[in-house]
Amino acid sequence: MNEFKIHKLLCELIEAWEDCLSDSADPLPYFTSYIRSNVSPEECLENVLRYNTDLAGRKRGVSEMVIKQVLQHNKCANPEKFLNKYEHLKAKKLDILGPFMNLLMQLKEDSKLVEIIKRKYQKESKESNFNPLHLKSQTALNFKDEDAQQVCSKLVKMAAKLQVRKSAKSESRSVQLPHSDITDWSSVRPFMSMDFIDLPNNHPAAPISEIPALSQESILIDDLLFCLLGFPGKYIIPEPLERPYDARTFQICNSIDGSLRDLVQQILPLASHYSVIARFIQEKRQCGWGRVNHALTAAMDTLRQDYQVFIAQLETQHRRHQLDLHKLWYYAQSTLFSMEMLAKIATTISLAEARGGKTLSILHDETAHSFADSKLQDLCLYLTRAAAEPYFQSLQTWLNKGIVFDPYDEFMVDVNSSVETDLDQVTDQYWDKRYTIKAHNVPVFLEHVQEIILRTGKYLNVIRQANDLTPGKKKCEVFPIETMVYSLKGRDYLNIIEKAYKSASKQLLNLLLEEYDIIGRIRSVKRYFLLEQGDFIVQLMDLCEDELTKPIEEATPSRLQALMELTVRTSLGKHDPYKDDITLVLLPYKLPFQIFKILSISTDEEKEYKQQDSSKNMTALDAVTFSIQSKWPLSLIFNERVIASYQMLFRQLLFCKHVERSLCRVWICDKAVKLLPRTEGSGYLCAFSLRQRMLFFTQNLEYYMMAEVIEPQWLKFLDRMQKVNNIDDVLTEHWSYLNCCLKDCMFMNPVLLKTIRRLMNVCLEFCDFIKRMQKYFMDAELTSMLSPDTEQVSDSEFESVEDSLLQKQNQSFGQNIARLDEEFTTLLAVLLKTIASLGREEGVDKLCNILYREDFNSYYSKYL
Amino acid sequence: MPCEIITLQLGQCGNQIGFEFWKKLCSEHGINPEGILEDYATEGIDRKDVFFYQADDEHYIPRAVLLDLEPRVIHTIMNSPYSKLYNPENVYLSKHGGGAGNNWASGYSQGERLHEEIFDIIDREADGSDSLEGFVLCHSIAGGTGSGMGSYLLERLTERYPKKLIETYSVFPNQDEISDVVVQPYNSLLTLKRLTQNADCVVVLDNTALNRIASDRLHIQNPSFAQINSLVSTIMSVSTTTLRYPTFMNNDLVGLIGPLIPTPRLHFLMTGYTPLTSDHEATSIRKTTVLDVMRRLLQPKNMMVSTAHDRNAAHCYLSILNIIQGEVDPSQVHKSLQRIRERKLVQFIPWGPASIQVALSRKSPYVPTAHRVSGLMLANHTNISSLFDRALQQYDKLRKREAFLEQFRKERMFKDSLEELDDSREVVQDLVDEYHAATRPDYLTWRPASATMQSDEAGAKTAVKPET
Repeated sequence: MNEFKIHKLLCELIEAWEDCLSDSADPLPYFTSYIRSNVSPEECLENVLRYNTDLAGRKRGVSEMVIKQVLQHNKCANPEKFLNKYEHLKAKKLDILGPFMNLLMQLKEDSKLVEIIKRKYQKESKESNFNPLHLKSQTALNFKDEDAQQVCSKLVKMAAKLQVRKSAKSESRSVQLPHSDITDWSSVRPFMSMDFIDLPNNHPAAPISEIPALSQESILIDDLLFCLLGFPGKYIIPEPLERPYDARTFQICNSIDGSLRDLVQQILPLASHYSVIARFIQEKRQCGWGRVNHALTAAMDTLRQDYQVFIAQLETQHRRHQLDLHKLWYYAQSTLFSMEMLAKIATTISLAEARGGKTLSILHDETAHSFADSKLQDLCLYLTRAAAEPYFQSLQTWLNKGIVFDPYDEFMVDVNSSVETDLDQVTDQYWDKRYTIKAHNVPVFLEHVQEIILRTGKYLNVIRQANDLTPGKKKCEVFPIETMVYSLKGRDYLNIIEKAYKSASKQLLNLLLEEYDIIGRIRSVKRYFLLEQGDFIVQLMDLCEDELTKPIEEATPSRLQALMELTVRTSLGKHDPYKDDITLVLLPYKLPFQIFKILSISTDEEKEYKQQDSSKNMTALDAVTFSIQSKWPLSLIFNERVIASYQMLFRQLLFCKHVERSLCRVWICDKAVKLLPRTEGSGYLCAFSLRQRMLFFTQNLEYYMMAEVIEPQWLKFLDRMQKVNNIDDVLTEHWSYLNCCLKDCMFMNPVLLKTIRRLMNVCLEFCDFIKRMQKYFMDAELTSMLSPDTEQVSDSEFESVEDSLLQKQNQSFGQNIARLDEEFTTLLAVLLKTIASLGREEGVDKLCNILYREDFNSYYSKYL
Repeated sequence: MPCEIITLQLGQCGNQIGFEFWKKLCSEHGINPEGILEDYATEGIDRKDVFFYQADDEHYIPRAVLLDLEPRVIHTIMNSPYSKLYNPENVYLSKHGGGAGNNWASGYSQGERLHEEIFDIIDREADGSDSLEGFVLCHSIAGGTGSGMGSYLLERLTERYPKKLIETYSVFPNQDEISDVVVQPYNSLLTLKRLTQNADCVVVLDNTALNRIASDRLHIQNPSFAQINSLVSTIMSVSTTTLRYPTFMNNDLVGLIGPLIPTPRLHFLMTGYTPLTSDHEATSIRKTTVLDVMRRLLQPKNMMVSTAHDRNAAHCYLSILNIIQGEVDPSQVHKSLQRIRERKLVQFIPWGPASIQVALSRKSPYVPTAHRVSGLMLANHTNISSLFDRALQQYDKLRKREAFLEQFRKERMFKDSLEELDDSREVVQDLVDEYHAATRPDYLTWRPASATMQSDEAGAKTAVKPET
C-alpha cells in the first residue's frame, strides 16, 4: 500500500471526524481542517510516521481506548460515522492507525496548539467568507513557498523513483499486476472457480412443502452437500455478494420445516466459510499476489482437498442412507471450527490486501492468538510454516549471499537501483539508501531483527564488491546457513539470523580493519587534515604562502598540487603509507558557505551568507583544501559528508595557522626595534602589545582546537574503536568523532564563527598595516638591512584593503594602532561574552575552556 | 625542509655544552657517534633534519660550527668517539691558539680579525640549508672567547641575516664562588649589551642555580662540568623537542619563542626542569602527574636561574611555556591549568593577556626514562632583571676603582675612550628598568629614563613618525 493511499484514507477518516463534530463548539474541527488545508499532506504524514516509530512498541490495542477517549471528550453529533470509518480502516490493518489516533489525541490535549489553530482557522474562514469562490486557490496559496517547493521536489523525486522502479521491474519480470498478461480464467471460466456463481436462478424448484418431512430432509442434505462444495442448491440459494470479501449468506426456502431449517442454518456457515476460502484461493493464487500468498493458497488448497474428501465421505454415507441432518451437524462441527479459522484468515488477508510480509504478520498473529485450541493452533502453524517458506528462502539468499530475490515485491529488503552503483563515485547515499527496509513487508516476528537482517546482506555486498575489486584475493567465504523454519517462538530461525549476522559483520570488519587498515587511514587523514603533523603544514605554508595569497584566478592549482606532493615527500609524512591519497583542491566557495551548506544550519545568518556572493574577493587561501581519493569500500568511511567535515576543520585550522604565521612575521620585523637608539622604539610598545594579544588569541584558539578538542576526541574515538562489532558502529563512531570536533570547534554556532573570522581579519589587517609601515618605521639605515622580500609579500596580499589603507595613511601610526586595537578588543569581548553566555547552556561545556585559555590572567575580565 | 637551525659553539664553555647537546641529540635520534643511523631508528617519527643534514654517504652531520681561540676543548672533542660526527670543515680553531685570555676586548677584536674565515663557514652552512630559520649560539658571558667573539658574531649575524632568528644559550657566571677571572663584570656587561640588542631570545643558564641544583637536588658534592653540562644539554634538547618531534603546535622556532617574548627587548628566558635525577642516584620513582609536573615547574628551586628576592617590585611572569613529555592525557592539562589558576600559583603581567601554554610533545623512543611525565618550563619572568642588576653592581664596584682596565685599553675599541662600557651600562640599566616597568599596568606608556632625559622631542617624534 503506498503512501498516497494511506494519505487518502486518512483524509477520509478526518473528514468523517470533522462531520461528526461539526456541530459542537469544540475547537477540534478547526484542527482537522487545518490538517486538510494548511499542512502539506507530506508533513501530516511525516508527523504520523514519526509517531509511528515512537509508538511502535504499543502499536496495537491502544487505539480502542484512545478512540473512546476522543469520542468522550467531544460532544459527538455523529459518532457512528466516525466509528464506522475507523472500523473500516482497522480492518485494513493499517499499522499507523493507532499512532494516528494518538496523534489526534495529543493534539487535542495540547490547548496551546488548539488556540493557534483556532485563530488561524478563523482568519481563514473570514477570508474565505469574503471570497468563497477562491477558497480552493486560497488554501493552495496557504502553502508556504518553501512547502510548495518541498512538496514539488518530493513529488518529482518520487515520480522519478517510481519510473525507475517500474522500468527496472518490468525488465526483471514480465508480470507486474494480476490481470495484466495472463488471461483471467476466473472470469472467462467462472465455473472452474469452485465457488458459487451468482447466476439468476432460472429454474425455481418445486415447493418443498409438498414433499413429506422425511424426504425433505434427504433433499435438504443433498442441497446442503452441494452448497458445502460451492454449488447452489435448489432450496438453499446463495445470495449475491455485496462486496467481494463478504461472507456469503444463503436464502433458505421458507416452506421448510422449522426444526430442519434451524439445523440447516447451523450447518450453513460451513458453506459460507468454504465459499470465502474458495474465493481466496482463486484470487490469491494469481500471479501478482506473490510467493507467500501462493504458498499459503497451496497449503489452504491441501486443506480444502481434505475438506472435499470429508464432504465426499458424507455424500457416500448419504447415498447409503446413513446420513441425517443431525449426524451431518455432528460430523461437521469439528470441521466447522477449522474452516472458520481458515475463512477468518482469508478474510483478514483479503481485506488488508496483504502480501508477503504482511500476510505472514497476519498469520503469525492468528497463530499466536489461537493458543487456546491446540488443534487450531496446529492448523495455523501449518499454514504459517507453509506460507513462510518462500519468504525464508528469500531471507536465506539475502543472509547468505546478500542477494535480494524478490520477484513479487514482497520481501522486506528493497534494492534501490536508482542509487549510484558506480563504485568509483559512491556517495554517502549509497550506504544509507541502496538497501532499505520496506516496513510494510516485514513480518511481525522479524520486526525486532530487521536491522540486523538488513545489515547482514549489506555487509555481504560490501565484502563481495571489495573482493571483486581485488581479483587475486580469495573469494569471500560462503557460510551456508541451515534452512529456516517458522515456529511460534522463533528461537531456531532467530539463532540462524544472529549467526549469519555475526559472521558477516565480523568478516567485513576484519576486512576493513585489517586489509584496508581503516584506523591507519583515519590517522593519516588526521595527520594532514587536522594538522597533527606540524612540520608538514609549516613546510607547506613556507612553500605555498606566496601562491596562496594570490587571488584565486591567478593561483595555479597544478603548481600547488606539486608543491604539496613535494612537501608530503620531504616531511615526516614520507613514512605514511597513505600519503598518496591526499590531494589538494581549490573549492570555489569560502569556508562559511561550506559550513552552512553542509551543516545546514538554519538561521538568519545563514541566509545572510547565502545572499553574499561567496566567491567574491577570494584568495587561493580561502579556497584551498585537501581531499581524499578513496576507493570502494573505503569510500564508505570517507564519504562526501565526512570529507567535507574534514575539509571544514582543515580550512579553519589552516586559516588560523596563516594568521599565526603572519603575526610571527610581524614579530620578526619587530625585533629590529632593539637596534634603534634607545630614545626611540618604546613608542611602539602599543603595537607590540597588540601583536602579542593577537598572537595570544590565535595561538590559544589553535591550542584549544587541537589540544583540547581534536586530540581528546581522537583518543576517545580510538578507545571506542576497540569495542566496535560491526562496520555500522565504525561509521557511527567516526561520524560522532567528527561531529564532536566540529561542535567543539564552534562550527555549529554561526555567531561565534563569524566573530572569530572577523577577529582573524582584524589580525591580518594589522599585519598588513605593519608591513606597509615598515618603510616609515625605521631609519634609513635599518630599512636597508631588511630583506626586500617582505614588501613583495605585502603587496600581493589583501588588495582589497589597499584603497582604504591609502586613505588611512594620512592618519598617524598611533591612531591606526589604536583603531585596530579597539576593533580587536571589542570583537574579542563580544566573542568571550557570547561564549560565557553560551556556557550556561548544556552541551557546550567544552567551549568554556576557551575562556580559561584566552583570559587566564583575567586581563579581559573588565570587558566581560 | 623547514626550520633548520645552525648551532654555533663558542669558547670553552660553549663547546662543552654544545658537545653534550649533540651527544644528547644523537642518542635521542638514534644516531651513533659516527653519524650512522642505528638499525632500530630507521623508521623514525622524528625530524632529524632540523639539526642534522645527511652527507653523500647518508651519514648524519650536525649543523654545527665549532669555534674557539684555544685548542683544549676542541681537541678533547676531536679525540672523543664523536670526532667523526662533525664536519671537520666546520671546526675552526684560531691558528694563533693563545685564546682570548678571558678578555672580552681580545675576543671581540680577534673575532673582527677572523671575521672572513668564520663567516665563510657560517655562510656555507646557511647556503646548504633549504630554509634556514635561525642560529643557536652556545657560549658563556664571563670568559673571553664566548663573550667577546660571541658579541662580535651576534652583531654581524643580525647585520647579515636580519630575518633569521638568533637564540642563545648563555651561561651566566656562578655568583657563589669567587671567580678567577677578575674582569668578569666587564665581560658580562659588554656581552649583555649584545644579548639585549642583537639576540632575539636568550635562554639564561645561571651557573649559580645549576650548581645549587646539582648539590641540593641531585646531591652531588662537587659537581663537575660534565654533570652540569648534562643538565644544560637536557634543557637544550627538550626546548627543541617540539621542532624535532612535530605535533599540532610550536613546530617552528618563531612559533615557539614568539609568544614568549611580547616586546623585543624583554627576551631573556628562564628555564626549569622536573623531575631532576642523576645517574648515580638510585632513582626513587615517584608518581608523576601533569599537575605535579606543572606545579613543580613553578617552584623557584627547580629554576635554572637563581634570582634574588626583590621586595620593591611585584615581579611577575610575562609568559610561560611548558613542554610536557610523556604519557599525558590532554584533558589532564586543562584540569591542571584550572587548578593553578584557582590557587593563584602564578602572577602574570597586568598589561596584557598571559597564560601557561602547554605543548605536549613526544619523547624519543630510544632513550628510556624512569618517569612517566617530565616537563620543561620556558618562562619570561621580570625577576630575571635581578641577575642584570647584580651584574651592574659588580661592574660599578670595579669601575669605581678603575680596576683592570688596562687590559681593555690595549684593544682598539677602548684605546681612545671607555665610552663603550658606559654605553653598555646604560643599555643594561634600561633593560633592568624596562623589566621593572613591565610589572606595572602602565608599561605600555613607559619610556626609558635615559630617553626622557635626553629629549621629549624625540618621544613625540616617534609617536607621529610615519607621517612622511
